[in-house]
This record gives sequence, structure tokens and C-alpha cells, in this order.
Amino acid sequence: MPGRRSEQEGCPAVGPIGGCFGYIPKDSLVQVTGYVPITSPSGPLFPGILTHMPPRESDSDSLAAEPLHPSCARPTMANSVAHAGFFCMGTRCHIVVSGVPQEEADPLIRMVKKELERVEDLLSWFRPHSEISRINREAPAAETAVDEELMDLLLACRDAHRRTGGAFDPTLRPLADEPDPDRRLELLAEFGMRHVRLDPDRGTVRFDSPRIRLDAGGFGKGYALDRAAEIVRRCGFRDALLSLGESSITGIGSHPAGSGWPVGIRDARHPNRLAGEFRLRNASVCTSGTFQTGSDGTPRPDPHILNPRTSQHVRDLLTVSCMSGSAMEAEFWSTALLVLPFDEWRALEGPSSDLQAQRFAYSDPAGPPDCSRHEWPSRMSAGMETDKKAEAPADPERSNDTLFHPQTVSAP
Amino acid sequence: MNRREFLHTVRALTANGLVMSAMPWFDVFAAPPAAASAASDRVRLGFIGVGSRGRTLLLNVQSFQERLNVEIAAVCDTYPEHLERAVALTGGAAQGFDDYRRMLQEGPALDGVVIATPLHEHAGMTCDALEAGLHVFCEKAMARTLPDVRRMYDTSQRTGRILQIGHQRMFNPVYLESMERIRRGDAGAITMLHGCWMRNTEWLFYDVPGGRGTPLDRQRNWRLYEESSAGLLTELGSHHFQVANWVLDAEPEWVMGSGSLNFYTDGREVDDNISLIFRYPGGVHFTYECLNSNAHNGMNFQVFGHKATYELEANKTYLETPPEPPALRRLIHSIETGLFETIPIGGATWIPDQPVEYGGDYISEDYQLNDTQLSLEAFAGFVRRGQAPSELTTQGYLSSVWTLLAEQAIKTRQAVALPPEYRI
Repeated sequence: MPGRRSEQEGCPAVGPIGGCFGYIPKDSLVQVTGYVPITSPSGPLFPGILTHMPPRESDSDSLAAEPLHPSCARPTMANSVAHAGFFCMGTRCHIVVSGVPQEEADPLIRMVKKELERVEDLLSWFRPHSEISRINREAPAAETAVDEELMDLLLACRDAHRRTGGAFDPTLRPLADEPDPDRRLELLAEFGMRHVRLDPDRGTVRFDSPRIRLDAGGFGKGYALDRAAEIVRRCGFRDALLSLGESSITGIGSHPAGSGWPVGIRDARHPNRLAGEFRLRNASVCTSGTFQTGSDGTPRPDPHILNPRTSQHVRDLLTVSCMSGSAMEAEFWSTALLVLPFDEWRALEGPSSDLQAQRFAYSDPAGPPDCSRHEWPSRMSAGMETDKKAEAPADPERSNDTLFHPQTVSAP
Repeated sequence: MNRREFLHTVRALTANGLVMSAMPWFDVFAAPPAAASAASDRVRLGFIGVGSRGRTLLLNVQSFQERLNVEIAAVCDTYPEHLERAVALTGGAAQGFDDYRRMLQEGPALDGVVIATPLHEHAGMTCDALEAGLHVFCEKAMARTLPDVRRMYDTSQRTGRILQIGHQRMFNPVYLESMERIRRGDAGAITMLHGCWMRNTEWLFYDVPGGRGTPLDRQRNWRLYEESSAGLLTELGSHHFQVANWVLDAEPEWVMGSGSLNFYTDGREVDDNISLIFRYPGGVHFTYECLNSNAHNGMNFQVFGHKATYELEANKTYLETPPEPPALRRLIHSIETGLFETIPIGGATWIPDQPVEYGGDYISEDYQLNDTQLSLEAFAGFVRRGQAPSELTTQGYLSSVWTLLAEQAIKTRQAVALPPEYRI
């Protein structure tokens, strides 16, 4: 089956990993990557690889799964750090592994890179041979067979579409590329996730509108990060931070000097200042914006952000950052919340797991952004930890809105 | 990069010593000799050969002749049409000659000559001009034979006159900026060079009745015949052979290669495709191809280092790894030092500066300068000074020598090294 490369016996949750890092023959490293569905006795397949993992009794800060073999547990070397960067998914990926020297992390980094490249090859809009491109070619005309991994992703997209009240919609890219606003409005009814017909039993997808195309831009990096994070932890590395283009960041374990990873969100106009802050404890923060960032840190407009309700582009200088136990879930929601006015957030059905969202509106050219924050507590029994506030009792009716002034601490 | 920025860059590089050590010829821009406007301070140039390339050189000199107080006092060509055209371009100010010896002996007083004639004529003209006390700018390659190349070099050394070869990339701002970055280590260890020059062209400068092989065609389309040219090697490749030596700051240990006529079998004698490998110290290879029947790869010169690729003709650089987010260093430092602080590393998606897959940034922004003009400006400056850095000549010499050794390698199917008598 395409995309399903690992069939051998292995870890029941994520499939064969090939053994512990540093002890495995080099040739078998390649078997680590490849899709194996994430199953959990307590919840759906998605979202998230991290959400179903039980916490280790001995380490309240870490929800990392036990390594495959006891021999994988390695003593942590204080203050050593390994890191690497490479191009991936149209942006840059950086990996920081705390507590190990570089040479020990290098095989892991190669493995993560390989997996990210596999996901890119699966989901890239720009590669004609990607699975997404194949679906986009075939599904408008016929029932199109997709493999288990793609089906799981599409089901997760459909779920996110419903929970976000339609604000997350991966079918809109052709509409976003249409420059004429009147024409966009005319075409709006022919777009939308509802035109994607999924048949999980038969493993097929069909578009019932010829206009729609699937674009993984709103969740692909999150999915890739979830896959990468799983490899990091399964290989027995406890503390790491992964970044895909800085808009998707996963913190595994903790910074050596504290609990979790304190991650600041840059002020888009003053890249050395903090606009907001998240503490990642086995969680990810994803930022969606109406702009992208150049190497000099300055914002560059991104014309692809479209409000699926109005078919109008979002033109304000705006970002939304979401933290969740699953990077893909965080991406779904940051994409969706970017196009919705803040006062509509509380009316949404909400995510399937704990999620904290911060919205930064750069209305004042000189000052810091206006920030708004909202949290959704967990509805699920499957545990994940995002923040201490997430320990509040789960109550679907309860929402937690706050308006707050951002930190204006200037970085040295 | 405009002229002002170019001069600023040159001065900055002069200040940090790079220009003086690796490309001293740029010094003429960092500290240009004063160009007084008086007639007595004028640099007087003569042109030998004003065909297609010679005319281009003449027009370039005209573009700065007032600013730098340069006079085109004489022009020479054996082809009357070209001679008349050149005289007309100077508004009749230049005296016309159909014999360069007469120009040197009977013409107006000159300080230097610009030679753009068929390759096999370079050596005699250059040596005669040098012996006559003139400085020489000669188009590349230097000469058709190794002894002639050596004779030109030796004559310039003996007479103390300047001999500048028309390798205009030596004056190209993109190359200048690239050399600075490569030398300071931005590309990492240079492990391979690759160059190519691919065109889809018959390479005929003139339609000649009777076609290939006629005496007139041998004279007009001289690039196609062995007695007057080594074809792609001397007319195209020599440019990039100079660049390879410059990038590596070395000369090859040996060269091997092959070539053939596989498409233009119309009676021409020089290969229409060549493929070469130059081996440099440290086990670094420079591979090079030229082709006249397909233009797809165009002209390129790639420097491969373990950190980055520099495409000098395309003015692009590609990093092997992306630039680090500004906060990454701080994050790593915070881990190493055990400092628990929030670092502003998150934000909107980073995108490469150029919308090409995974980057490729311009080496020099808004590059608008004409390197042929800059190389002639430099020549005028050197003539005014009466001297030039020896590297100006040795770069041309080594390029020409290795061009002709590459021809030997193709013909003998052997790896060819530099014969001792051509060491300088």
C-alpha cells in the first residue's frame, strides 16, 4: 500500500521503530519513517500522536512514551545541546535536542529529516507526484483510492472543519487565487469541505465540485511535526524542541533549567520583542498569519488567507497562535481562528482536546499588538497537558476569554 | 549594485586587505589616479581590430572617455567596412589604418592599444606594441600557441609595459562580492567547481559565399578553424578557466578531456562540443562543458562548498542549510548556560528571500554594471599610472596556457600537466 512502508513487528502504538538509537544498524534507520496509524483505546485516531500517551509516573513534566527497550533510557548530560537546520516544506526546519552531544543526535536528526521529507512528498501542493496532487487530479472525476494515512488525514480535516464551524477549510486555494472579489463571491457555493466525499470503508475520496482542490497548507506542517516528535521520543530522546518555519513549534520534555519549553511569539513589527508566550509541555504552538516572515524578520503579505464565509481575503496584519498537545490540531485552529472575529470564537464547538489560542492584531503601527486569548478545556478523558489552566474541570459550556496587554519585554 | 555602491564595496574590501591580497587589480577603483582634464593628461588609445568585439570595446571606452579624459586617437582594421564604421563612431576624430604596424610607426602618439583581432594574430601585434613602448589590452585568449603565449608574457615583463587580457569577470561586481564571501568561508570548503557554456548556434559571425572552408570564411569566421582558433576552448572556455584559477587561488595539476564535432559537420574544424576535467591541488575538480547545439543549461559557473553553492554567472547563492532564526542562538545559549528564559522564536512562517524552491539569493542586489566597461576603465587607469599589478597579467597567462593544454589533452586523450618551461 502506498505510504505504508513499515509492516514489521514493532511498537504497538506507532509501529516499528527499529530499536534504540545508536544501537541499531544504520541500514535499519530508514524503516523508522513511514506511516503507521496512531491508535488509542480512549479516543479517535486523531488528533494527535501525543495526546494518547500516558504520562510517566516518574516524570511529571514529560509525557513521553517509554522507549522501546529499557536500554534506550540514557543519562542526561547537563547543558549539552545538539542542533541542526535544513530546508523542508518550503521553509526551514530546526531541531534542538537538549542533554546530548551532537554526534548522538545526528542520526536522529537524519531520521526526522527523512520523515519530514516523506510527509512533504505526500502533501506538497507544488509537487506533481505528491498524493495530494494525485487526488486533486483524479478525485474531481472519479472515486479515488487513498491510502490509510491520507484517509486519516482527510477525516481529521473533516472533523476540524465541523468543529471550527467551517472556518478551517482546506479546499479553498483555487478560490483564494481568484483575484476578482465578485467572481469569488459567485463561486463560493462551489467550494467547501462538504464537496469532499469520503468513504473510509472503501478508502476512497471523490470531489463533487470540479473546482475544489485540497491544500495541506493549513495542517501539513503540524502533521509533519507530530510525526517528527513521535520519532524523537520513540528513539529515547527526552528533551527537544522542533520548529518548522517558526510557525509550528513542538516542545518535547523540558528545557534543562525549568519545566517545559517557554516559547515566545515575536512581535511582527519588532522581531526582538515578545508579543505572547506559551509554555510547551509536550505540546505544540502553531501560528497562522496574514503575512510571512523574511530573513530580516519583517512581515511580507501572504495573499492566500481567505475567509470561507465571505470569500474575502483577510488583509489586516494579524496572527493567531494556538497551543495544543497535537501540532496538527494547533494548526487546524490557528488557521480557522485567523479568519474569525474574536467575538465568534466562543460560539464554536471547539477542539477535541485542550487548546489555548492567542490573537495578535497589529492595528497600531507603532505600538505592540492588541492581544486576545481564549482557552478550550479538554472534553476528552485522554490526557494531555498544555498548561496548568488546563486542569480546570472539563465543561463544554465553559469558555475562558481574556483580553490582556501583551508583554512588551524587549529582548536583549 | 550601482557605481557608487560598487566603489563603496571596493574600498571596504581594500580596507580589510582582501583586494590587495587576492584581487589587487581592484585597487585602481579604490584609489583611482586623478584624471585631469588637460590635453597633456589625456590617455591616448589606439584600437587594433574593430569588428564585432572591437566595436563593443570601442563603444565602452567612449562611454567613459570624457569622464576619465581618454582619447581614441587611432583605429585599425584590415576590413574596410569595419574601419570606416569605427572612424565614423569617433566622429572622424580617430585616424584610420589598415595595417597595425603603420599605426604604431606612423600614427599619432599613443599610450596604449586595445587589440581585438583573430586569436592567431594577437601575439605579433601585442609584442610589437609592447616593444613600441605601449601598454596593451588584448582580448582573450592570449594566443594560438603556447610559445606565443609565453612570448607575450615575457615581452611585457621585459618591457615593463602593462599587458591586460580581456577577462572582464575579473572586474565584475558579482564576482568581486562572491570572491570576498568565498574567501571568508561562507561557502565552506570548496570541493568542486562546475562550469558550462551552452548555446544553440551555428556560431557564424558572417555569411560567406561558398560557406565553410573558403579562404574568405577562414578569415571572417576565423573561430571555426584550427589555424586561427581553438574554438570553444579559447573563445568561451578561457573565461571560465580564469575564474576557476581565481576562485581556488591555484592553477590546475592536470587537465583531461574530450571533444568532437557531432552536429555542425559543415566543414568547420573546431569541436562543437567539449567536456573537460581540471584537477586542482587538494583533490578538487573543475568540470566544464561547452555545446553549440543546445542552449538549455546556458552559461553557468558553480562553486560547490560544503556550506553553500555560488552560481557566479547567475548571481545566485544557495545555502546548504537555511539561515538560523534570529533567536535560535539565544535558545541554544540558554540551554548551555541553564538560563530559563522565554525566547521570541515563534511567529509567522519564515519563507526564503527568493520565491524559488528553497531559496537562492542574489549575491549582488540590483547589479547593473557592465564588467567590460569596468575592465576598460581599469585599463585606462593603469595606463595613466603607468603600471598595473602583476596578477592582472598572470591571471590571463595561466588561463591561456591551460586553455591550450586542454586542447592538447583532447587531442592526445591524455591527462596533460604544465610543461616546466611554461611555469612563471
